[in-house]
Amino acid sequence: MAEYVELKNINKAFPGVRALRDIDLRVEGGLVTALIGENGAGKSTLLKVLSGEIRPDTGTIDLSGEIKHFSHPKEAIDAGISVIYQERQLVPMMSVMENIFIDNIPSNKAGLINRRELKKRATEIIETFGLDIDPEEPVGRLSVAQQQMVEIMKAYRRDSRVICFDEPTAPLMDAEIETLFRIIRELRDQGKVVLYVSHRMGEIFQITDRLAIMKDGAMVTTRVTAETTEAEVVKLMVGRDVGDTYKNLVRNDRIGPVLLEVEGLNTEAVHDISFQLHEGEVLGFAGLVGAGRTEVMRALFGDDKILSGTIRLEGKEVSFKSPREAIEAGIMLCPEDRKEEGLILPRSISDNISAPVLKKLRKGLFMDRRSETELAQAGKDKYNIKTPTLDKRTIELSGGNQQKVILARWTSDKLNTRILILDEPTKGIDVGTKAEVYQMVCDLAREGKGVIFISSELTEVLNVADRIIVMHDGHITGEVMREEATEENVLALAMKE
Amino acid sequence: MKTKGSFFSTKYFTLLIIIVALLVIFTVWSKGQMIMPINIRNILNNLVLLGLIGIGACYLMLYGELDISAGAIGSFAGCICALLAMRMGIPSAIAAIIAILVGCVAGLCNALMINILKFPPFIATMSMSYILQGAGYMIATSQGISIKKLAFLNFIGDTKFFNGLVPVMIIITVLFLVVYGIILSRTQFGRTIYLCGGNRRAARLCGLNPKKLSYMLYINSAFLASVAGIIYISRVKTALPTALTSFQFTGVTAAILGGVAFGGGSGNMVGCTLGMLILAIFNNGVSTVGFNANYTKVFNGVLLIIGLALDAIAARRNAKKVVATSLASAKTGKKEETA
Repeated sequence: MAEYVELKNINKAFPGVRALRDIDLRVEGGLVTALIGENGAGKSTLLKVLSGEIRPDTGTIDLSGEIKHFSHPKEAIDAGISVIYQERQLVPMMSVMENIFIDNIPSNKAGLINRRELKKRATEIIETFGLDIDPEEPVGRLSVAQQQMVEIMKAYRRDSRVICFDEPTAPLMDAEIETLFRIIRELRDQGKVVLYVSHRMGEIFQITDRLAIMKDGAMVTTRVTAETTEAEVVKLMVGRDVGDTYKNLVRNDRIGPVLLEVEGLNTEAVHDISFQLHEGEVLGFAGLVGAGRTEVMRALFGDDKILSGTIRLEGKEVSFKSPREAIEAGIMLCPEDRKEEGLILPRSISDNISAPVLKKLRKGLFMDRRSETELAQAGKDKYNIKTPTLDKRTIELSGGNQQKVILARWTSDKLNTRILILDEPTKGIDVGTKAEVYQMVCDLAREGKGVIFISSELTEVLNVADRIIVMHDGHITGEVMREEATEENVLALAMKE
Repeated sequence: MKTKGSFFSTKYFTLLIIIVALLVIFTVWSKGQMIMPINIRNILNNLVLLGLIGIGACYLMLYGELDISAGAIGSFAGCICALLAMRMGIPSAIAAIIAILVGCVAGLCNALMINILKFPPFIATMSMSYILQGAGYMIATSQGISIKKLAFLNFIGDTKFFNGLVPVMIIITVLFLVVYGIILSRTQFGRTIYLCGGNRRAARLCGLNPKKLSYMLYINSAFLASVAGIIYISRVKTALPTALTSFQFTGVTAAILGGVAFGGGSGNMVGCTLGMLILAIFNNGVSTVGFNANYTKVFNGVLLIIGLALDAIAARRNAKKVVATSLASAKTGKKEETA
């Protein structure tokens, strides 16, 4: 009998976001099905529902005819579903064979581990996959690719009917990818249900038979891989022609004199950083995740220690010992991690907006509640924050509204904002709000502020920023004007060795 | 915005009901002994110590940390004060001030251990608690130091206003509760505690200084505990190294019962005060109806568990509410899209 998994009417909401809406999907055994969509489309959440890690608010999982409701990952594993995550779930100190048999180690009657049996069975599995791995080697000493293979062997040993891969090729090299694909095809030919999540178009067309496309938490459609094209898939994923959003931006056309000048900046994480930012300019920072962009900004903001180098603000040399001093000088930072570093989640919208200017909202000894409310209200109106009251706690807001609260905080008229640093401002925000954020960025520039715009989404930086600085491994590797920038030349700089 | 009617659905109303219920139950159970004037005074005496230590605990809990050395610091400050006044002949008012300063130094040491050496607050304050208890025994032995004829301490311990009805220490405590309550809800400093307690990292990136605040709060907790220690010796007339050690967790218990979230960021002084009242009435009631002191500890443990359970239930209900509102807003958002 052919295996299949059918998800029916799956819904799941998290604070501030509806992660999955009315998902219906049937995945057949004997085929590799790709699950694709933009960041935040809900792919990982859907995988977690399958693996029993998240309990959906509604919906059922039909596993080849059996209706399942998982409330614990163990139940999903017992039912035959294995998910191989980006972060490997192995015990690094234990050997390969122990990891493969981690929840079912062969033992004798006294409960002691039967090492000979364990090794024999582990070796059999390793040979089935045609791999060159020593079963007694501690997993921590294996390469990333080999560790992934151990994960796959674990799933195989459990005799899983459904095997899901979450971005499996991200840490792999070409030769390793070949091995992985060989094994995936083997699993497919055994009739297993294989679900494959990836961002890489090339390999999706290489390895998968079916495509399931998600967008904003909903299932858009499914396609037979051989009958579609990359362009069509991208359009389905994004749900619109990308070009328009950017074409309609009202940009600033009067770029002023130099506002900020960084020269030879060194910290523990970044080296020899020099650049200039002009009044009214949107300066993009592109690069791969971990290239050191966030660290440059932290140093600028007085949060990380500067080892050497000079920073000049309007020609005057400055050095900030704490974020407080940077804020007083007019440099504001919207950090990358909104929930951990940006917002004070259990506090209200108004508390969050007034946080950096408490001193200016005092009347004698006490806080002046009226001017605080006025300040928050002004922010709410300016950025169109959708909320019934300013007392609403920020944890209850959607990602887009949360970002607007942070923008309102840093551009209030109690602060003399000269430079605004936006670190991944559109991360986890839905497409409609993204366009709003782009326009806000341009508006800030039109007011004569200097805006630093960090983003890992290439199209976004290329289209919003006036000038783009590219970083790689803690160094600046190049600078491109928007007119000359293409995905190819920026990416080449970002991956420069 | 809050309306008048909503008071009945707030947790303060629930806490008030619990207080009234406890009073009624224990009064009936003890055949009226519970509300005899002498017993009411016992409750208030207990509330004085609980209140002072509880304020410090409440501030620290709002910041997301805790100090279990407060009781030991208070006992130690009492011993120092008695040592200076009785054995060295220093005027008792000056002795009290020095003792409070010594207590504050202990608080500073807590803060240094936590901020510089990065010890978890629980470990740091627990070791401080052991050190000071030991030091207290060295100064006062297990017999303690008895206090006689000391002008300032007698004033604090024995003076009563309004025809001998209201002891001066009650007035001191109420004053502390009100002032600290106002600081918390009305001033920049109070707001800073909430913001840093809500998210330390984000607060720092907003230009606040959570580290500095941490020092202030540990020193403040030690200051209040030392004041409690002085009040204790002036009432009981003996400085004991273990005088306030039973208050190790009571401040934390009161704060949790009063609705301060474990982990910081929300809660207030009104809730804390009600939490303290519940504890004081409960402890007194248990002994009034005839259980011995060992039972009180068992019941205190149970009470703490109940408090934490309520905290957890509230958190879960809140999370559900958050999901519900976001679901609702997602739905209305959808409508807007289609419209």
